[in-house]
Amino acid sequence: MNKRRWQSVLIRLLCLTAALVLIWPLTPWDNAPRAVVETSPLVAICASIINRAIGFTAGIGIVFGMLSILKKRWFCRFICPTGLVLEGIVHIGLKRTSWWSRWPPLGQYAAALTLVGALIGYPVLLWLDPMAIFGSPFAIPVAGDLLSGLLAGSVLGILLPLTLLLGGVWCGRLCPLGGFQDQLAALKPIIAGGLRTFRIWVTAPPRRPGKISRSRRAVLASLFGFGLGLWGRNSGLARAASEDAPLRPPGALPEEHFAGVCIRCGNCTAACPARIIRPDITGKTGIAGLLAPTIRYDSKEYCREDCNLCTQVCPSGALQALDLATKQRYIIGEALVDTSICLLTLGKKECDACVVACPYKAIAISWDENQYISYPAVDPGKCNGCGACEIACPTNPVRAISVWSLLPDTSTAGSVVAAPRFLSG
Amino acid sequence: MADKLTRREMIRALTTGGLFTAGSMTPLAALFAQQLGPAVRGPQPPEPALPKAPATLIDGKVVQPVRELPVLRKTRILVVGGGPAGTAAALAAQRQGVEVTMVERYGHLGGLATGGLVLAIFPIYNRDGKQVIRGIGEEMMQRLDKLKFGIVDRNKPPLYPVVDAEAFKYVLADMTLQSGMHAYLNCWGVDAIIDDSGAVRGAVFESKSGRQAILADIVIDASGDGDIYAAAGAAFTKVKDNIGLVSRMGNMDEVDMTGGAEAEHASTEPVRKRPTHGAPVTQLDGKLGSQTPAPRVNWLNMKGPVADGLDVAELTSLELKHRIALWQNLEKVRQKPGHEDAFLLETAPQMGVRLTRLLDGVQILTEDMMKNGTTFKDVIGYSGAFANVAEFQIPYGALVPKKTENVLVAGRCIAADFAVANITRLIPVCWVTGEAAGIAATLCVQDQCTPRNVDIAKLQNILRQTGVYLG
Ligand SMILES: Cc1cc2nc3c(=O)[nH]c(=O)nc-3n(C[C@H](O)[C@H](O)[C@H](O)COP(=O)(O)OP(=O)(O)OC[C@H]3O[C@@H](n4cnc5c(N)ncnc54)[C@H](O)[C@@H]3O)c2cc1C
Ligand code: SF4
Repeated sequence: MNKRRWQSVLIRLLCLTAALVLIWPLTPWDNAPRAVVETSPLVAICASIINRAIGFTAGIGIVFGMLSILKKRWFCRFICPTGLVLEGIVHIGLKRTSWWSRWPPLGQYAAALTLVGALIGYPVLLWLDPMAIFGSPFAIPVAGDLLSGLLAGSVLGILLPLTLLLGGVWCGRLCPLGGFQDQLAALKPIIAGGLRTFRIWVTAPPRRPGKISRSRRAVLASLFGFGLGLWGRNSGLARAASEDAPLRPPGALPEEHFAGVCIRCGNCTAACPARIIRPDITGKTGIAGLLAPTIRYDSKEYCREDCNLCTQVCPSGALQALDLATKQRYIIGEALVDTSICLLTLGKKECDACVVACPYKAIAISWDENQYISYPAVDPGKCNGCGACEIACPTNPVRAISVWSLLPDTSTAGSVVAAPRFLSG
Repeated sequence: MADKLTRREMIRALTTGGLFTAGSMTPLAALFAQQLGPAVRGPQPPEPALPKAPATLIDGKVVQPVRELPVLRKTRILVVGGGPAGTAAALAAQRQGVEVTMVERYGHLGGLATGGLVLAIFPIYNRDGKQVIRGIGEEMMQRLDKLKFGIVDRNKPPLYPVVDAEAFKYVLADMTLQSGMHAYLNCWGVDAIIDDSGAVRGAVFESKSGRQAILADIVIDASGDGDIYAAAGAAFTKVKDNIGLVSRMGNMDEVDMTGGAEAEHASTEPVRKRPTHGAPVTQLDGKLGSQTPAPRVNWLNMKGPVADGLDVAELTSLELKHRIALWQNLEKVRQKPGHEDAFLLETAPQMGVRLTRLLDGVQILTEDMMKNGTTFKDVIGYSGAFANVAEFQIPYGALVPKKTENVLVAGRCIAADFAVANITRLIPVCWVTGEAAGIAATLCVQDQCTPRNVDIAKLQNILRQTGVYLG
């Protein structure tokens, strides 16, 4: 191994260590895990497109992207911890086959799809970004049960044996960030040569006769990305319209965008001290929603009023960064009471567990003179769906009070990124 | 203390049926004797006439003339109210060998826990399901446990024990008689007696025997409504809460018993359905309540509307309306297949008044303290965990009025803010405050001090010895 290669390995080892330290998280900064993922130029650019803003950490990713224009695969060479891990595996791998090198540059298509998807608010394959993949196993120990934990780390779980068998196929052909860097590098002559070079690039015939030309491939990939993005959004819209849509963590974009923007990095799952954020493996949210984080109030925990960690660690913008006061006003869902099983209403017990449990004093006992019954009444102006009532309610298996997704607000549907909904005041 | 009354009782005790020798003279005999007069049937010799002093109408105002009241008893410790707090206080004090007199407005003991048909005993467990309320309350439950149909769901957290009201009345009558204390039933405390320093020296009662006074070294106000401390001029906060009327229905065997204890909390629906916003839309077709230890008998709790528990007009109109509603509910229940023969076994003799007065105490227990699990140097016991509130400590200072001397307070009217009182009012917590007030009162008598100067270490020691959990 030559000296330069040693240097590169050394730097990447340092980066790997830094990434581990930041994502664990062993640092005092709440949003450290977010910074790790956002160093990926692809994530940074997609997130910036979706959020219509460039945050500080995204800025780093964008700078890394520019470096990749100047120096081919700069990010792979100096930063990428996933690549380093996989490279290590290549060395101990069974075969060092490279028959896959005849495969088309799938990673480039993935990047194109994703960028076009991001433009319509649905970055289709961003969850395949290596930085997102790197973070995801950290959610395993907190994912609730073993299965969802394993699934949360599944992409890496697939990559490891794949690399053992096929060697460097991921970095060489599949990785969307690698593909994106190749595309960036291709920009260099265009930038240098101006319009003329661009024209040559666009009109270049296919390398081999009978195949599709480069430019057509780009257009096809974009169209495909557009289509997939639309499909993802529509399935999200359908989900949002259902009466029992999944509950998303605080700061989440509206359902029609959320599952697409989320890159399944697992940061929020890993950050949540109450461990109520779990990757969805129920399939209830369809393929488009697979492994996106949901909030589940099936343990003894609720969304704590003194915590906004999940909103601080999301690199994709699927969860908007919210300060504590704003997070308390973010509506996760609404608590609704089924009086037909409420112990208080039925006169079975002197119960007001939900009233006592509510940190926002949003529940009061109401008296209905006509029916001569009492029932817990939730003030929708104060309830943010934190679930404290649900976990306190003693009925089982169905809780008499439980949090339900907000029904879609027709006034905001249809905009590219509809605003999350907050309690006023 | 050795006045005429006591001596006469002694003689009565010895002569009643001649059953007891002086050596086996049990306190039990003394109490029976106190209540049974000479057993001669028919006309009785005339009683010495008391000077009459009725209220008079002067210039359209009703004026109560100053008059001397007969003193029914002089006692060491006077406990007003025989509910969960009062019985625990009186029993705890009497067991320390200090003479106690307990006075109760109704003809049974147990307060809302029996006469109010409030049958569920919670919260007694901490977060991990360990029982943190023990002492006299635990002893009462153990006694109920020995009775057939006395109590169900003991030691089954998260379920809470449910008692049978009549079994509980029996247990309390038995414990009271055995303790040797003096008790007066159907005797309503109407005023405090204070000396010129403003310290409480006893209370005035109305009963069939007329208006009488009981003098005491220390008074424990366990009336639930703080009647005595309010009369003595102690500061308090008045609150309004829901007032309902609990009832029991019979012939309910096909209703709830099948599933046993676990079925109590079971939702009738296996999968959740999205409910609608706001007020319940479906007309409930007859509330069935939930099981009691007695077979075929269910109890039906009622939260009721918010009302003033100290306003006789409001209480009366509510009680009448509640009775009508309960009968209408019964008729709806009877329309359910299998419940045609259900009947209303009883409506509670005592209205379900939850909170009325909250003492302005040396230490007011606040919601923040409760939620933060504040610990106190003068802790006298715990409340169990409830909803998401973990078990929390109750300080002695919550039983002591800020200024007024010689009174201790126990039960639902102690010094707590409204949110905390919603939990400290519950039966087992009333046992805890009652037991502590009882022991503290004995220390006042023994050490000749006022409640605010009680030796806390000594108090905690005795509480621990009697099985109270202090952490
Ligand atoms: C409808 C309802 C449902 C409830 N459900 C539950 C439940 O499920 N579980 C639970 O643990 N708790 C429950 N509670 C609360 C609990 O029952 C009471 O708060 C508790 O019994 C209070 O005990 P206490 O001794 O302080 O007062 P009380 O039980 O009110 O006892 C006070 C006693 O003092 C007597 N008294 C009052 N004034 C005077 C006077 N001036 N002179 C002489 N005697 C007097 C009364 O007759 C009474 O016997 C419920 C309460 C209500 C109203
Ligand atoms: S906690 Fe559940 S059963 Fe109890 S009052 Fe609230 S909704 Fe009803």
